[in-house]
Amino acid sequence: MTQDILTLNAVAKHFAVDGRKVEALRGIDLALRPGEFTALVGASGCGKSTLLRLIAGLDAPDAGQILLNGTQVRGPSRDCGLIFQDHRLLPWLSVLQNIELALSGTTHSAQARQKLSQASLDLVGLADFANAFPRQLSGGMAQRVALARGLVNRPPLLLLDEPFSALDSLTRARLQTELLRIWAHEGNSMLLVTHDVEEAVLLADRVIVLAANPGRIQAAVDITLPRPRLRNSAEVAALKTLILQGLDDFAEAA
Amino acid sequence: MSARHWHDSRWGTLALGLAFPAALALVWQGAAAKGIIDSSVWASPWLVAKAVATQVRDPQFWSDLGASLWRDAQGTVLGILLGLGAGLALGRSALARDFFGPTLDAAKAVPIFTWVPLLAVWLGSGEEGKIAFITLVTALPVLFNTAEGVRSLEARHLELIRLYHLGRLTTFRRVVLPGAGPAILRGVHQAVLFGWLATIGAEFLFEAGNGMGTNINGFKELYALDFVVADMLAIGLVGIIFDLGFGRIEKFLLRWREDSSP
Repeated sequence: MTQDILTLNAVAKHFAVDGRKVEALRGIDLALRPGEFTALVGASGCGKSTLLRLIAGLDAPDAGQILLNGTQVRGPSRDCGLIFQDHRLLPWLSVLQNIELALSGTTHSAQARQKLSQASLDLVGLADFANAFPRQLSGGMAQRVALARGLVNRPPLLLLDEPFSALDSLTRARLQTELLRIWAHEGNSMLLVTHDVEEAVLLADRVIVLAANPGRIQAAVDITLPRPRLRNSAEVAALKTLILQGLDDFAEAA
Repeated sequence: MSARHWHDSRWGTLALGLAFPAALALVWQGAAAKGIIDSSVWASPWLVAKAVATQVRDPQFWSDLGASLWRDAQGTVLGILLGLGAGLALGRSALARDFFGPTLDAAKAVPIFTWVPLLAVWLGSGEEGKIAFITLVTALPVLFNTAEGVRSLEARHLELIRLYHLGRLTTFRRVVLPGAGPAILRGVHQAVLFGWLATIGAEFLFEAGNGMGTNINGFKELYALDFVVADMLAIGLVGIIFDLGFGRIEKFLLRWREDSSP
């Protein structure tokens, strides 16, 4: 049996809001297999993004354990890439320089960094935009560059925090297909946080439903439909309904 | 769409901008010619023009201009470097900010020229005093603008430093310096302009040596106001060249934030 790429054991997180302690996440158990595409859905405020930040090592959990490749996460790791909701490109660096930033501090030579960055840019289909500045890109292009930056050092796990939610629906659909192509190409694990249930069903092997107040795992649904999945197919619609109902039921019970 | 005017073109704008001083010079010259104003007190444009022609052939003028520019360069470069260093430290460290901030804010309220007597006593009223004054005048705008620029770097950008394990040098070169770039350049631009003013000011206020301030003073003693005005024009021209030149450098360095798409 291969080792899980990511394991979460009873992870909990609190925040202080106006001096009150607010429970953001409670008892999160999760295991991701290598090469698996997992989606995390839930209403806004359920702690999805908080969970991703904990896994990325940007924040620390108050309780529980997060293991990346069997090692406890103590800070950002090169084995785990993160794509934000906004592209987070530095506006004063060229597209290529932005990608190279993710290779900073690695043992690669400057030349190798440039080559790897260009290759990553080719992968997202923006080979010709290496010298452009971020302001010259559309929202969809900028998010592709962010994807190239997240992938440039080939992390075995890529975290995506609602990466397409700020894009128009046509661009979003294109980038979803693109993400699947890249995933097939890289063979890495993806953990996608989204509030778009359809997106989760279209892309993921497994959809994990998060409930709010406090954020906790409510259900996990395996999606065994073959890819490519059609947005309008009955199967996708049925799974969407199932997951949405789960979310609704829970909202009523709460 | 707004209506287009003949003065929207580059040359039209230039012509319109020059019309006022030209008209002023004409009226002035006419008044002097008619004896309405005393042209020994109110140097007439014609006399000024003749003074300019004399000055550009006078080695003393070029030597004084060179001396002022060299003095300005030394004081301004020193001031910019000091201001940049202090501003970066102040912007990055909350501790430094709380420690030095109130003192600096108080110092800002003291008119800069009141430092002249102190500097003259401490460093002498020769070259050291003058350069120290220029350094002080140029360091402050760089310091305040840099500190502000560094402090207002966005948290979402600073987070990348941690995420990508950026080292100190990369953090400085790729994130802090360019991120604070617009503010730093604003400060440096001010320093370049203030430095030139401070140079001439220092030459007036400290013991006489060489330089354009001294050159003007010499003509003032002789009551040669046409030459005084000619020198003023030269000093102003240098200021304009500095302003436009630095504006171009600024535009190039900040090309990443221009609004126009390629």
